[in-house]
Amino acid sequence: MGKGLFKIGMTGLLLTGIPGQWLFATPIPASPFVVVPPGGPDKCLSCHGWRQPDPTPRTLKKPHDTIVLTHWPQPGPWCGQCHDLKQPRRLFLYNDQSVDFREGYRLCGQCHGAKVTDWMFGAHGKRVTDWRGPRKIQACRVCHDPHQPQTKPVVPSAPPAPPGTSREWNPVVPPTHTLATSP
Amino acid sequence: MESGGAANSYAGHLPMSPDPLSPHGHRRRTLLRGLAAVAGAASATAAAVETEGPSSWADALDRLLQQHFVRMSASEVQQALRRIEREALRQHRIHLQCDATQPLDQVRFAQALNLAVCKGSRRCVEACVRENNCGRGGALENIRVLSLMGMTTELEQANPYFNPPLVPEPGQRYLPISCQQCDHPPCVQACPVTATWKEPDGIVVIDYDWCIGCRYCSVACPYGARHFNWSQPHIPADDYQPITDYLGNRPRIGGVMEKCTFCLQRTRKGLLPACLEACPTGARIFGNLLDPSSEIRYVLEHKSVFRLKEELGTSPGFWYFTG
Repeated sequence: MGKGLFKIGMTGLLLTGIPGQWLFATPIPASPFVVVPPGGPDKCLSCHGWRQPDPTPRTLKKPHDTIVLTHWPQPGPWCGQCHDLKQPRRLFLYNDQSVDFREGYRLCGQCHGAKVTDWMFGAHGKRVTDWRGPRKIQACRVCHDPHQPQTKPVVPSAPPAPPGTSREWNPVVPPTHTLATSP
Repeated sequence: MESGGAANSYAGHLPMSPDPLSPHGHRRRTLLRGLAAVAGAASATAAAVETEGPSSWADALDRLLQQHFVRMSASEVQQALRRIEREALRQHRIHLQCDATQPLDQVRFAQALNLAVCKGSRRCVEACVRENNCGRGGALENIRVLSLMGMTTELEQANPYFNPPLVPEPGQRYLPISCQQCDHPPCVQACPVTATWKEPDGIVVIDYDWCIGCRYCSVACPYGARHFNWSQPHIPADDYQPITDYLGNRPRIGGVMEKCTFCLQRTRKGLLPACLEACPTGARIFGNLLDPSSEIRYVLEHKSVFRLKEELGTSPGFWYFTG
């Protein structure tokens, strides 16, 4: 009796449950978004705009000695596994498709698919400027250095003053005064 | 201030308790207000050179006799806003712009916070203090970041005063707490003068000019999210946020309560709250609960979320999640 019920239950679950959700669920499309890249000058193009990179695996020297690849277990891949060495600012996907840096999230999504889905829908990452209208979301590499993706420790801002005391106003971040003007 | 005129569109939004002002009281206020206006006009020539309009004592009398914000007419609201701007110029030497932004239609604000992503940097606290013109002594901060050891969820064991050289510390988790913008806010029920109420867009606000500083709301709030200005907040003149709102970040006086308002001076204009803008890790998610395509709705529908002290029946508009 018990075994029969178990079989019926498992059959029902398989027919209507887990595979049913996977096969027939219609995912909500993410609303359109604009990817905001990190600010600052484009360091790559200052050299590789005119000079082909050396594809030989080697110990990196200046100015590349700051690039430390901790993302993969060592010995890891060489630059050419992700970077399109013939076209600066383009990346390779596993299907040999070349994509622009602006679509770097597609490279990340090859392994971190669930996280990138969250990022597309707004549960991960950071939206900037406004909470309505066209979505502007920061690119993965704004927070995560692609070569060392773990976020680095930071100095915390000052703690609150205990009751009955006060402290000096010594902010970590200088004032920016992003005024509440109407967009 | 003149009475009458077009009714303030806020009228009717206040969850009405018995009107503290009788019709007789209203007539008396109108009479006193007229006298104040006459006195103000008489002293206009002797007013301070750098400010136009009534003198400081006429403004003070005007503030004393001012109506509750919800019952003010549109012209009375405008006069109150100009008075606030004059007082800021006179007392703090700053040129403020004070507005009374209306709640947006079909908008219900809510926030969610990813505990797995928060690193305890307190950048949100810093930005909140700046944006909302809070006192700079560290005694009044609308966001409190708690440090929790390991997997404990005992808030009594949390440490809000953590100050290591670098964060995150190994084994620590961080839980920022601010006003939870409850659907059934105990603070609103506790206020004896109806100086605090919930707006249609979900934000619990305070009329600082109507608050009597009894601190009942602070006692009633189970989240410790209401703070009392024991003295006039001290803010450097060059660090003032000059775009202000009557119910938001306008300069407060000593002896009144204040709280997080989801930066309504920003959010009602479409901008993100200051804490979201400052968060270096993107741990906070903000949006309109009524919009099915909003990020906040995605989080509520796809993540395991919880709310603080749900068993109290406050129904907060602030969710936490991990992952």
